[in-house]
Amino acid sequence: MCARQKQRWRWLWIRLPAVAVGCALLWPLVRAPYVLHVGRTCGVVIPILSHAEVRVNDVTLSDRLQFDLTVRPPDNSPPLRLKPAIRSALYGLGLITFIALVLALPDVPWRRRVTRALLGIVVLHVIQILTGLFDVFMGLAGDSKVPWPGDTISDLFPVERYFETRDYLSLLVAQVMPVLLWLVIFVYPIRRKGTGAAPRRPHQSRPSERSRRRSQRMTR
Amino acid sequence: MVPRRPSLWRTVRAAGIFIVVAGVWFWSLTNTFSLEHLWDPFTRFVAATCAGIFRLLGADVLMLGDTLNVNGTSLTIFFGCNGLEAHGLYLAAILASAMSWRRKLTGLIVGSVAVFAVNLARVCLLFVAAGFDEEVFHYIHTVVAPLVVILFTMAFFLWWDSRDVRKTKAAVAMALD
Repeated sequence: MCARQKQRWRWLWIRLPAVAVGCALLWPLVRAPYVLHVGRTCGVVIPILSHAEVRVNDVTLSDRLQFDLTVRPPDNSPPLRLKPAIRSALYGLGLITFIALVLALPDVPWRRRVTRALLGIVVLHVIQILTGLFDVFMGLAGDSKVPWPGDTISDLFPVERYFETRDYLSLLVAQVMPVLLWLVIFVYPIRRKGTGAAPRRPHQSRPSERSRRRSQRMTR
Repeated sequence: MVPRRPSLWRTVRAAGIFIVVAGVWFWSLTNTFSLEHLWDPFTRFVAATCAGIFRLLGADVLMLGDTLNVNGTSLTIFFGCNGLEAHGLYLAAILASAMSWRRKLTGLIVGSVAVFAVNLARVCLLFVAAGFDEEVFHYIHTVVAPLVVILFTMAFFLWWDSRDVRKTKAAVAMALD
């Protein structure tokens, strides 16, 4: 590793907090459209997975993501108005963590960094939508005051278990998933010694023809 | 010459190890037995260390279980504040990486101490933030503080991993010479 690269790794310790602070400052500006998109996409899927006829009237955002649902029970009883709400603070944590890690990683060409970051953000967004759906359905199924007719997700997952593990599920999505995505997309694809080639991270540029010829001359 | 194995397989394997280790770790955080015998004492240890730091700084500290009262500001150290998530992420990342076992073990010891120290700093800073507006404290508590701890943890892992790559590269360069 040359001196310039060593210096780049040292810069990681300065760049990472700087990028994190930048992302955390920008997040309040992006928060509303991002979280509302998660909520509205959940709103599209909720009627599909519900056992009864459900209409999503509105999705709003305050400190929590608030849904306004009208449920028409299958036994022709009067329609119900339900307003489940889910926590939205941790959506930002997941996104900021992933973006900060991606931006702070040294030695990655910008084009590759951006394309892979977009891929990661899309995957993370889909996971957050699934978690949102999970939270809504589990909240409705677990609330004894709400006559919820049921849905596909709460049929598969025990509600009691959900209330025991809810905090950890949200932490998994907010902390583990961004780190896992970052590791899988950027860090782990690495060649080790004894694999027939000098160890090189695939996100780094391939050795040029000139340097390849030079190393061949050295081995002769 | 050892045949070259596709890096996709290595990535999938590393991701699998990460998921299994992180899964077991996070499961243990909800398991009653490990909660009672491991994580509750660990949380109390974090609280006691914080109390010690504040006492060293000359603050009036009262400690009742996991609850600390520092100069009139009272906070309870719950799960999420004890840094166990960051420890789990670090453990999973190190075990799934392509380092030698010796290096993994050294990295685990050194890194765990570093993560513990950063988490202590986070808890201490939360006491300072508690003196501000409630909304500011909430934002720092739920977004900024966990973000700093996770980023530090992963930066430490990356730094440790990069040093290993550097050594491997040096070994390959020596072999070529």
